[in-house]
Amino acid sequence: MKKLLMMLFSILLVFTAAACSKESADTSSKKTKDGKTIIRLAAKDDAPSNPAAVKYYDELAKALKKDENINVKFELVEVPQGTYAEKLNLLLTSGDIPDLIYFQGGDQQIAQQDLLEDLTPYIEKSKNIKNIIEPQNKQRLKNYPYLLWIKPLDQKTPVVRKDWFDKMASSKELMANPTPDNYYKFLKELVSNPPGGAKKPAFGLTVAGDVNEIDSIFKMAFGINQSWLKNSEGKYEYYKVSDKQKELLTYYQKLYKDGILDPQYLTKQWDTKEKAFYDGEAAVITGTNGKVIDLYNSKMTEVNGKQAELVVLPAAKGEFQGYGATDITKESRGYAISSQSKNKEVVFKVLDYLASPKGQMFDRLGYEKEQYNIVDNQIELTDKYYSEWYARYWEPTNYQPETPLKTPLLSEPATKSQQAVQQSYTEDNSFIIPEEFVTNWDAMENLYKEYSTDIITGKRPVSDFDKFVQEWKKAGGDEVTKYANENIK
Amino acid sequence: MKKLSLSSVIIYSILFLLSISVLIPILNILAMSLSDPLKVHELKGLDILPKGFSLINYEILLSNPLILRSLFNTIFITVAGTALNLFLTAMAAYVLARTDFVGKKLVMLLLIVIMVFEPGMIPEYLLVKDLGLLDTYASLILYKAINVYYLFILMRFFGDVPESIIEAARIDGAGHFRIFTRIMLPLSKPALATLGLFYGVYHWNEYFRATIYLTDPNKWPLQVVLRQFVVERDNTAMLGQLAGGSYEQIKNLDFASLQSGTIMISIVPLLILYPLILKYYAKGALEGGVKD
Amino acid sequence: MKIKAALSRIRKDWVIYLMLLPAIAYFVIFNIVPLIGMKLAFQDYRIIGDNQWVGLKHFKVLFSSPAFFDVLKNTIIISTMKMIFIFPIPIILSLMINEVRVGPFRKYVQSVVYLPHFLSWVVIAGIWISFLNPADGGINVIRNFFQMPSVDFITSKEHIRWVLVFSEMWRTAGWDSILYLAAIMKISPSLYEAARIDGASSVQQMRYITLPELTGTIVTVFILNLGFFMNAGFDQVFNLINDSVISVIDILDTYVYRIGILNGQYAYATAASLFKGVIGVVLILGTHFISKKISGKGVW
Repeated sequence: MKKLLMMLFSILLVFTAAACSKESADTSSKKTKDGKTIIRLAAKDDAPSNPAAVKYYDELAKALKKDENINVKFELVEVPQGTYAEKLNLLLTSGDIPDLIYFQGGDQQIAQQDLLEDLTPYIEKSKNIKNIIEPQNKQRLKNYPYLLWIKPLDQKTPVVRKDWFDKMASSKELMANPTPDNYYKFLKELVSNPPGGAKKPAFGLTVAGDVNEIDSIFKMAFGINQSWLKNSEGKYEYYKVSDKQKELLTYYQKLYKDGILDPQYLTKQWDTKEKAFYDGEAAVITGTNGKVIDLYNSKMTEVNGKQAELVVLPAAKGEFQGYGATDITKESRGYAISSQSKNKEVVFKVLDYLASPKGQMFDRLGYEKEQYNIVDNQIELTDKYYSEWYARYWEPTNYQPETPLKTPLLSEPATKSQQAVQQSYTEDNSFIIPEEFVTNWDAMENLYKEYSTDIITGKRPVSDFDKFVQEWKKAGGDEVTKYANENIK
Repeated sequence: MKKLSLSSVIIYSILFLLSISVLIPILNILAMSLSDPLKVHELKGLDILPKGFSLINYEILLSNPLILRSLFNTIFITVAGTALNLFLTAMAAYVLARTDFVGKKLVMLLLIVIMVFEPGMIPEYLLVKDLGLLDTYASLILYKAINVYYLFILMRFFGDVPESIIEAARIDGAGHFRIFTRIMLPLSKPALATLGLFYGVYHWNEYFRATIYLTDPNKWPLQVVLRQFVVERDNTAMLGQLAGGSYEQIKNLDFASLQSGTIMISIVPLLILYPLILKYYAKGALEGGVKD
Repeated sequence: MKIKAALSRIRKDWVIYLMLLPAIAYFVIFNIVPLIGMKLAFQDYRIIGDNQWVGLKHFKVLFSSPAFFDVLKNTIIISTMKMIFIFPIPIILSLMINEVRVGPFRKYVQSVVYLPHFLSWVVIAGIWISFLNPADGGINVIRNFFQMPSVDFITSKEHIRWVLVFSEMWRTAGWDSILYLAAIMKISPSLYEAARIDGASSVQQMRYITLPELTGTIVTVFILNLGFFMNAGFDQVFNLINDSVISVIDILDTYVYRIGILNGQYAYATAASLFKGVIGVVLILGTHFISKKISGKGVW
């Protein structure tokens, strides 16, 4: 027995020694390698274990050399998809900061420690970026100049399948005059006269977990066009405690009670919500305009046929009309340059290249002969483009490549949704909650969630809303409101 | 004919119902993994037969070029890790349970503190980094090499061994180490098997720390590779990297079913090995068996 | 004088210390060092440069929130419910399995009951949400069969904590029973033999032999689990929570997750861990010494 143990122990030691040995670590070498500047980059889907990413950055380096005579080599940092936020944070807090970093949250405290470069001077001197920058990006950069993310607006738009839409008598009225009442009529008709057969749909609307998703349809009609509204005394109050919100909740309560809003909405996740849509359980869902609507459209037509192509519904009309104000406090995600990087200028040049016509074509359309073919001096996008390509960097909304596109970038419903959102662009007056209010704010938001959910599901009467307002004010609402009035211009 | 007593009937029925309540959801997951992706949304919560039949999920999962390598990695980590775990835990448990020494109370207190406090990922990550163990198997094998909770459990088991046997050995002149190897270990087979199972399962299921510490895909364990595309529901990456599945098939994949496939693949080895461990549990019971 | 005696004892017991050495070395490197890192709870973390000492600032932030006491209340209530209702189940289960004489059935039960332990809470939440679905979930089908109305358990403030208790019971009872079964295996068969000769029935054997022999293990497990009392199950709550029931099942860990981890403010998380740890240690030591006084059995 003893001999066996000793043997096991020594085997263990050998194993441990073997396990401990690793390839010689190549610690951050900002030095140039055969004349090339090394750019270390951490981005969510671009890990060295992903051949598509490796190929992209190899090709990008080639294009940079050819078109701009910029000599770089990209070094991807392995950050796994499943735990991107955690691993990125650990990397950064352990002092290993790549040159170019993609953030999806968690950037504020890195910026607070002066570790992210202020991009304003770079953008001003840029060749291409300042030409494609959108109004919401400009505002956000003014407030928080560390993240760059030139992408379309992200408001959600409601969609429904065309064949069902056409079967409804109330559709025309809805399109002509989309008041909340007409919306109600339309949704009610879908439920009482199900166009797809019995219980298809079972409800008019569904959302994933909370009604914020349908706020984009109805909020503005009820007069809520910003986060902080001027009340009758001319002072700002938070929209969630305003009388307008009370009316909106009354409306939602009616939708729930009359079987229009899915009674299981609280436990739906994004995948079960989509499933309900494709299965015909719910008639209308909302999705981010553009790419997401494109996805919904292609899946819907795949499962239910071409006649089920999507129709983009208008925002409800009332005091205002639109899909919701745009937050301009800061970009919620985007690319940042490390202030500790030795190659800041070169990194920005890369970002600028991706905004140039050639760079845009590369990033948005892919590699010639794979994602697209040039036929008769026109770009024809292939199946490979539609199924697997996505733009890693900038996507200004009105993109026209130098060679005209024969096949569109997005399906018609998706393009329509984008246009609709752009037309109703307004800026929000929300602000980043200062640190001293953060814990109170969390409690206040939860208080709202509790009351609003209980009111919508009928567990509480609408009159309880006033109780909520009182509690909210006591839980820190008064302080934040005072702060808002002092700081909102 | 054996007469069935009332208590037996009650016990057998309860156990049967319990096993059914557990089995049905598992079979449901199995059914989901074997269903045709285009029909799988018809599958309801209590169904145990697949809708349509398709091996596409397994084809996709197993066609990942890293899968075989990851299986070896996991086996290596599990075997080496568990061996280290048992060796360290058993030796420490013996000393703490059956001996008295200066400073014992302090060690006990320290152990409780260690067990209860969770320092969090940052200090742990910094430690692994400073030890130069980033991207090594050692980072996974050495972390939680001794689980204090299990240590205390084993101490309890070792403590229950009758003093008389130990005394007898000591009179024969055996020192601590010999008592440990010749007496303690052989008498504690069920306990060691149980701990081996606990530690082994822990290593087998390792996912989070593997993603944090291992950057070389060739070192990735099974769980990481299985979930590589499932977590983010990423068709596009799959198309580029997998050997199996046509473009059409990947486009139509249902990620919930894919996820059930990963669950099934992870459970299978345990389903095979567990009955072997049951050997250690069978002996005592059947010996003490009684005919009512 | 005492020191000299102690030193000579140490020299005599050198084998013990040698045997303990690997474990101590492991603990010092991999546990003590990170524990010292918990001083982050009293600092503002700086990536470049030294951390700044801020004293109790983070604790004040965490504790001053109006939500904190609600969250603490929920944590304590849920943990207590789980202790009372879940803790005895694996014990009872192991006793029952032990009574099964039919080999194949016994193997079948043992091979099946531990399976849910391997499912992650993401999956289990999906299973239970589907099972508790008021429209067509299994539970309501059964209730309707008995003329009882359907209840939406998952969004019900009155029922959600019970959902936490029962889903956790379903997940862990089987796995935890393995431990008690191992303990039962250690009981000397001669005890049972003697009892049988004296004419004791199965139930009597369970009461007078099995249970008393198990007491040591039961007490150990109980006290150790108290160390994790403030945990209450983050993964479970995170996956089962919905807007209707936040006020009732938001626990310390989910609260800290929102405030701290989502914003990368790890210092809050560390402060909360410190708080939980202190309570855990106090609970363990307290119950250990009380239990030893009463029954002579404790954790060690």
